[in-house]
Amino acid sequence: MTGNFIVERENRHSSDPFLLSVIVLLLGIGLTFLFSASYPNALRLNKAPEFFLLRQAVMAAAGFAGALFLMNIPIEVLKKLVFAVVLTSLLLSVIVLLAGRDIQGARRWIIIGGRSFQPSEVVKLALILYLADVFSKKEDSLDSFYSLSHPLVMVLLFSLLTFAQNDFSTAVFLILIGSAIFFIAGVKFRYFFTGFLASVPFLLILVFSREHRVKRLIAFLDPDKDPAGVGYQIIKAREALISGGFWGKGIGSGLKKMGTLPEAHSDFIFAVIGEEAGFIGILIIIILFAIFAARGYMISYRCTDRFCFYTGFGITTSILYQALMNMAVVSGAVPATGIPLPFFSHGGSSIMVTLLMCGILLNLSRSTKNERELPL
Amino acid sequence: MKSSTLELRKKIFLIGTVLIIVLIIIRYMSLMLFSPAGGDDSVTHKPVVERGPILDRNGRILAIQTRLYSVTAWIPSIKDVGKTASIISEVLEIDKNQLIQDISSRSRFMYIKRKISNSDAENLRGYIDKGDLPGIGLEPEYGRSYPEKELASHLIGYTGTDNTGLEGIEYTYNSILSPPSTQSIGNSRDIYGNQVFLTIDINIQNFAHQAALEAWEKYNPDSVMMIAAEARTGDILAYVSIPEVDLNNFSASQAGDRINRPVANAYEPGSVFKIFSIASFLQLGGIDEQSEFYCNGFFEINTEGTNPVKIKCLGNHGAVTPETILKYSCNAGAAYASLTVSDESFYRMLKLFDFGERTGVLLPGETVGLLREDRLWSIRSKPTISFGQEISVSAMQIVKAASVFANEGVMLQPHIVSKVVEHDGKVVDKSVREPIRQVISPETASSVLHMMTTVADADGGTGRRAAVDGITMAVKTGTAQKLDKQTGKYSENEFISSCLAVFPAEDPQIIVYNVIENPKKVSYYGGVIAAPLVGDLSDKIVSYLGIPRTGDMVINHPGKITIKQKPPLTLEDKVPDFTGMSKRELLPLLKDNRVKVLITGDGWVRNQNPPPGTDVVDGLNIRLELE
Repeated sequence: MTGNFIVERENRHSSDPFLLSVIVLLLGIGLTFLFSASYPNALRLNKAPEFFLLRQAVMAAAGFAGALFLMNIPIEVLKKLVFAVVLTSLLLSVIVLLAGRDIQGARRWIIIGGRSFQPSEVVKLALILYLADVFSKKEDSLDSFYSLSHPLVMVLLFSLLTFAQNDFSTAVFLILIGSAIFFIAGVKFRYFFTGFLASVPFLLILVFSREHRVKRLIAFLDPDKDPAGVGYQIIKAREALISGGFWGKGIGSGLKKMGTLPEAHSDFIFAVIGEEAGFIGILIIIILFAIFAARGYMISYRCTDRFCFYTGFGITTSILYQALMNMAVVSGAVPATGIPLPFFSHGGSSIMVTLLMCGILLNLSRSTKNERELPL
Repeated sequence: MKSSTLELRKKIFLIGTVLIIVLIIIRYMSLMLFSPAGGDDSVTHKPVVERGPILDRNGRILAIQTRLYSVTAWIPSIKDVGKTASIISEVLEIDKNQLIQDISSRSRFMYIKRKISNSDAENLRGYIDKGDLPGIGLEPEYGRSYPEKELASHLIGYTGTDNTGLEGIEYTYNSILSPPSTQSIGNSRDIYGNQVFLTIDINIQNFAHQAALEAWEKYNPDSVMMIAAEARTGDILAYVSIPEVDLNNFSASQAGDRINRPVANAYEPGSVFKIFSIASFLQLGGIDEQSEFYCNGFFEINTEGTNPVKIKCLGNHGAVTPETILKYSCNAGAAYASLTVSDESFYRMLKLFDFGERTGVLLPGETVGLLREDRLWSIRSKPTISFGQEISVSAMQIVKAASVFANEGVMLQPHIVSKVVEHDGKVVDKSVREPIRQVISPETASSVLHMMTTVADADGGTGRRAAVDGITMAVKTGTAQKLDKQTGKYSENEFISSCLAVFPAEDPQIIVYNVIENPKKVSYYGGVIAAPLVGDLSDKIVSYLGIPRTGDMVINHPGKITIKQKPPLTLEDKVPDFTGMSKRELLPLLKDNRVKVLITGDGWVRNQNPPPGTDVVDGLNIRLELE
């Protein structure tokens, strides 16, 4: 037994079992409801009822394997990977624009080995890693506009590339994550203020430049105006939730997924959960996400390494706020956008990247545990 | 960097996040647990309401809920727009290119066609099940079917795509047929509307409809109206207005065909109106049954200085009495009779008949007609109104007003709905005879009714063609010149022919009224074309309802069989024969203190001990075996 080995063991503690169980729980519940919500659609497409479940499970397995890998590599290796990840995601974002496949009027997918892949999901991770890297190095020069300009340009570039894929909501979401990291890094309030003012006209232009966005906005403000058109989904989701009541109709016994509620297995899966598991089910899932976030923020706040702190913060924020945005959309509290519910919504890229992020977060938890025990 | 600032920011961020989570929980809580039952306008779900049927007075279905399918499209799921469109356009027989355009112009959800036929739905279902139509769905929707098609179409009305009534009873009884839901959303879905029973009798409606259609063919008029009513209750038995619409396909009809003429059209009634003016003059005491006027072919009054009023009569009737005024429809006679009363009193009488007022029958779009106030009358007004000009009425107003002659001077509210019944059979509303007011005295009513019987006399009565075998008909015909809207004068070649009948005159039960607007063939005289129609329909109604005709062998049968109740069983001094008695019949026996009764079994008495004829003594045991 060498002393070196003991230090290694102490520094690289086993990952946070609490966080791990929450992740496994969310994934398990997610797959269960995915099956319940997707089988009617699978049958409609003349596929086996477990068609979507299997697809999702395969991607989740791949993501889990990736997560295991990321969980066990040293942080220094991860830091070195940042450049490669950023470059790859930028490349993919450009490729998708040139050679991507159009689905539902948006060019967001690349076909790799017969499977479609959505680069904008990877971009989320790339952006977080990039900002973590930059801010951990520029810790003391955050007051100058010059030093801020690089990260700012990158956030806008990622966002613009995503926007060009006609993925307005993810583009906005990237800016949101960027802002969160800027905020936590200590960027002055006046910069935020200026940035906010500067972006308002842009946002307005972007929203009103596409007919479907305006329609969605109108549908959000008044779903009953066009109940057969854009407002339809919002109305049906709300009906599903209301019919769920407190206890729900029982898992698997929902009716709205049977063809009434479009996108029941992807963006609007939370409505199916509400219908089948009731408010109690909704509450449990929100609490699980809250525990996940609490654990994630705790891990990141305890990091002494700034890179780890920003990465942990960014990942937790990304997953939590995707979930919150999705829930807000489903409940009709914000206009309909295409933000998936992490762990739940059908989407290979989404589940994979979510699990990869969890792998990194678990990795961070391994090194923090020890540091907490060290007298600082 | 100032670590205190960073700590503060961490805290702000955490607090903000917690706040958002709490807000989302509250949002879901309010949505899922505290959604008010329909009060919140953000909840748009309409529970499935089964719209109640409309039936005739005997329960024959006139309108009923159907379940049809609508074709929906979730556009993001459509893979091949061209293929999808070609399959659908072929099945539904719609334009393919238009469909492709429609699908491309929408981004999410759309209805391709609502309420398709069941066979089309089955066809499409086949394609959907095969997986040929991704994104296309069939959504059940409730529609309305009218098994009798155009029969009584204006009375029944129709519903729109969302199954709310747009016309007729469907409109006025909309909230009764499909009650607005007050139940909470989502759970309780079975809401059944009430059944509305009309007063019409589908058979009489059919007779009237056929008669009207024949007139339509024969005289090529602009419209034919035919109303039959129960004289003593005000219930409308038949309600025909031609042109009419097939209610199952009302959208294909022309707007003009959808006009509910018997309540919506105001026209000058012509000579039929004389019965109301003669009744008024009699009631006001201006004339009596013996009053005599002289018709030399004209009605003339010479007023000092102003233009003399001169109105031509249709004939040279000589001396006329109220009776012959009606019988020969003498305009001059009616006009002279009008001079016996003042403008004001005549106007008030006409108001008592509810002319110039809606009849109160529950149909949309009713006209009030036109009855000018007496202060606006000219010197010509009173005489011309007395024979039915310068006043406009609806057919329903005439039928309503005519009810006075059958009810000893009392006018009745006409009804079109006989009862409203809940889906479980509970009667919630039932129409009853609803007297409005005593308009004329019983004597005046019977007097005018008697005069009207002479109109049907074979010796020159204008209504002789309305005569019915073995029935005393009280009739009045009318031929009014239509007002030419362009010139404002009476048209020389457009007429409104009408005929009213109340029968049997001794015991009025039925009122029939027929109006033929602008007949273009054969004739335009009410007595020639409307009267036979009324006669035909009346004849059929008489047979159908079994109204006795004179000369018929009348078997006076009360129509019910009375079973004589046995006197309650009492014990005399001998034991009677109990055989065949029920337990209930044996009950009084138990009251008799002298005997003890022992009953075994159920049913009727088969054996008894002691046998009949045994003396009854105190303490006698009577055993009865029932089977």
